[in-house]
Amino acid sequence: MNEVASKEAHHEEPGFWHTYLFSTDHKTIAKQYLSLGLFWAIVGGFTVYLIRWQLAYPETKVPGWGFIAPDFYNVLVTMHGTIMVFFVAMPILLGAFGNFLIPLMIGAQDMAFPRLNMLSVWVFALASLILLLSFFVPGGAASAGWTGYPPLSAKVEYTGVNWGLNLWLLAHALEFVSFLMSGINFLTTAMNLRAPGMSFFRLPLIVWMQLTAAVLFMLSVGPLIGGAIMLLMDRIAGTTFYLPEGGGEPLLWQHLFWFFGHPEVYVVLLPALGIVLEIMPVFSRKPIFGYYPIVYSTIAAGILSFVVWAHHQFISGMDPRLAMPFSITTIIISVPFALIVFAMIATLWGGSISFSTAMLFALGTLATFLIGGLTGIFNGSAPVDIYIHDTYFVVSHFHYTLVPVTFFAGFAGLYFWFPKIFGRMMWETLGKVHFWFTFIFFNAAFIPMFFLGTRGMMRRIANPTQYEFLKPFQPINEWITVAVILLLLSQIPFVINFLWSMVRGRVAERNPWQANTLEWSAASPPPHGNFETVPTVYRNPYEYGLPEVAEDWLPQDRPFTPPAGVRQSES
Amino acid sequence: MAVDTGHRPDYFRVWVWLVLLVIVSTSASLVLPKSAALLLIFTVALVKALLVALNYMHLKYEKPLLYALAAAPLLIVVILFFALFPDFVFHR
Amino acid sequence: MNSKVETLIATGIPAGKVGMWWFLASEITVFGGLIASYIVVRLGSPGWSEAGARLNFSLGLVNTFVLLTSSLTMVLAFKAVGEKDPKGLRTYLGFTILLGLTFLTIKAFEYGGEFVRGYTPAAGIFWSFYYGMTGLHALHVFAGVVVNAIVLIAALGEILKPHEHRVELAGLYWHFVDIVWIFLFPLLYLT
Repeated sequence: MNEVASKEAHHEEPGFWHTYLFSTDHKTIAKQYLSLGLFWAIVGGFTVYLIRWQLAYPETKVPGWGFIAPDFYNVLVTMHGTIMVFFVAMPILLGAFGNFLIPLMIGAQDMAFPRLNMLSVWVFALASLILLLSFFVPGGAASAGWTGYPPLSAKVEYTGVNWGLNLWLLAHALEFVSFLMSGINFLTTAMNLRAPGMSFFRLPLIVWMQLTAAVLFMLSVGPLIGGAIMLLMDRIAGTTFYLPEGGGEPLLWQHLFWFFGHPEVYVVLLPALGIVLEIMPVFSRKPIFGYYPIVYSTIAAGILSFVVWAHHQFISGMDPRLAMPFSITTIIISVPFALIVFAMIATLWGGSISFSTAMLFALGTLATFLIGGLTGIFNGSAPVDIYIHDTYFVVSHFHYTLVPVTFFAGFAGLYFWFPKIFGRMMWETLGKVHFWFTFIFFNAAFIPMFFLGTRGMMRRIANPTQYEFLKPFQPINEWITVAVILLLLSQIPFVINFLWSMVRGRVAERNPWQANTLEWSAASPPPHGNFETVPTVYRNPYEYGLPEVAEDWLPQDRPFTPPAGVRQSES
Repeated sequence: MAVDTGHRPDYFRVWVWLVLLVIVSTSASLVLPKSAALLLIFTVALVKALLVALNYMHLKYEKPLLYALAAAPLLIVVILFFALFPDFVFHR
Repeated sequence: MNSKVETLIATGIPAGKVGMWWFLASEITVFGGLIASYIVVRLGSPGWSEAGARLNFSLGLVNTFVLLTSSLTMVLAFKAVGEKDPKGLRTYLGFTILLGLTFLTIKAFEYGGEFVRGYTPAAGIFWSFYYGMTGLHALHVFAGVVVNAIVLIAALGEILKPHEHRVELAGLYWHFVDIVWIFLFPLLYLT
């Protein structure tokens, strides 16, 4: 350790290129992922505006854009899904928070493989560039849905999209490679580079979540990589993996896609739950309720997530005998997540709660995700799903899970760790304005959507008024569009706050929230190498409100012996 | 990092076994009836893979953790494999 | 002294090896998924054996021996590191690279022969899988050759000295590529 520290002392100050673009420091790489993710969030948000305008006022000119052709509408819904899942959720929740927090929280100087880390963000940047490029090639961008089902996606003449879809596939492949590299780094770092005293069961819960997410990703993405290569070959090499006329099987893609697709949703969910689980104890001044059950539930959910995938395929024409087993596993997987939700509520119960912006967003995540999770149960039961599949019920369900995960939890994490990442405080008042408008308009938009779904409004249609039976519901579509536009506008306070605070926010101290985890022992922001001396860990991360301690918090790396005769909680 | 010179398998002997097994499975495909040949061929393939993994990749001498790292993905692939049966094997 | 390897090794296994095995775990799912798909689609329809009979069996067999032997030379290179035998290391690494290139050449030759006879990727579902699986495998062989070449160059220039564990890591990857072929050969050529 001393040898590595002295290595740092001889290290000259890197120039511009090494500091900002070619950095191997996990904190800089995290910020690079964050920047890319926020960029794509804006692009994705813009697609939302176009989609919603078209749905509310079909075949009218979208202000600031123009008419939307039905083909282009397909591009919009495809790219909206692709962008939000793979280019917003993944880079922000895993790339940014995972990279920033894991080494700091385990007391390490950096990741196990810093250069691999740099390579991973560069590959992701390349994937981003390719996806961006796909909008401008002849034939336009991919339009076969974010799920890219063949045969539609397998032959150019079916969509009219040529290189757009090929580049889409390539962008995904590169994104997968990037996160595989990240996953290797996260797991090896957490396994090998923990500070003395940091046993696995003293890890902050978000680290457990990030690790489980990494394992899920690493083990589930393989079959889809194979499947994507097969799809690309069908498009450009004349193979017939998915084309029935050549002996192929369109259904094979669905199985390969969802075999990954389902664990993938937990890959993004778990870090988000981790963010909420870190914030709640700090702003309740109480320990986490049920640390061990939460860890075991996370692992159980991770394992179960590999055997639920075909609930996305109940009406795909797959063997109906598969419906029952997959319904059962899907219902079962709600149990560990319910446990985690109960543990969160129990953590809050009786706590001394302060409603900082981070806490508001954490609570908002819990509240909205709860609705998402409960509506998932309807979808998971095959007989019900047969009715609501491919309707707006499903759309609302997954927005009630993915938006809390990506945005509510993402914002919670940003407001919470902003002082550590940027060394300054964000403006709380503006943050609260941001929260309330976001929360209100999000629910205003998506609650009515459940009704649209049960009344039979189908997904991915460009013009609902074409259908007689949908015409009476058009006012609901208009309402949703207005709410969504207001939701998008509500993000402006955040953008202002974020950018302003980065340069003019009040300078932050080391530990503005008086939290216990190791990152708060480092400077704000931490330098290269993170800690002045390697921390030693003495206890679990959630010792808040200990009677024996003068303050209501006790950092993991502070030695403490209780006065004689007083018991200290031991773990 | 000093390379572990303690236990070391006879790499050459393993290679001889591998070659022999290739010959066996190739002959089987030519000589035996279809189903017997299939069974033999894939058992042999499994044995060869284990020989390489345990000896050349030194899994035999590694901590159980690495076994788990190798075994977990295999288990997952097997699950996927069997789940695909109803749709592709039983339904054509 | 490679400080990275000397840092806290909580699991008792060097970071590089842990990282490599995680990588291999994901690779197992890539090829495993492809192979599982191949088997399952094949079991569901007739005519694959006939198509498979069109493959150049002898070349496939030769390639199997080539790759097996390259695994031997690779692990002997690793053994040479432990015995502090730089000449042995360079010799065996060199042979491994040579054998890898031989594999690729034979494969290219096979592909050429198949194309000429009209068995392109568009020739049917068997051929789709054949080109897909062996193509992806060949790309991995190529990548392995490149990695081994980099390690060899480092060994030639004595730059490898503090990083000798990289021979072991390169070896793990190479053996994995060999194992994939151990399954591909019977799946495609012997049935």
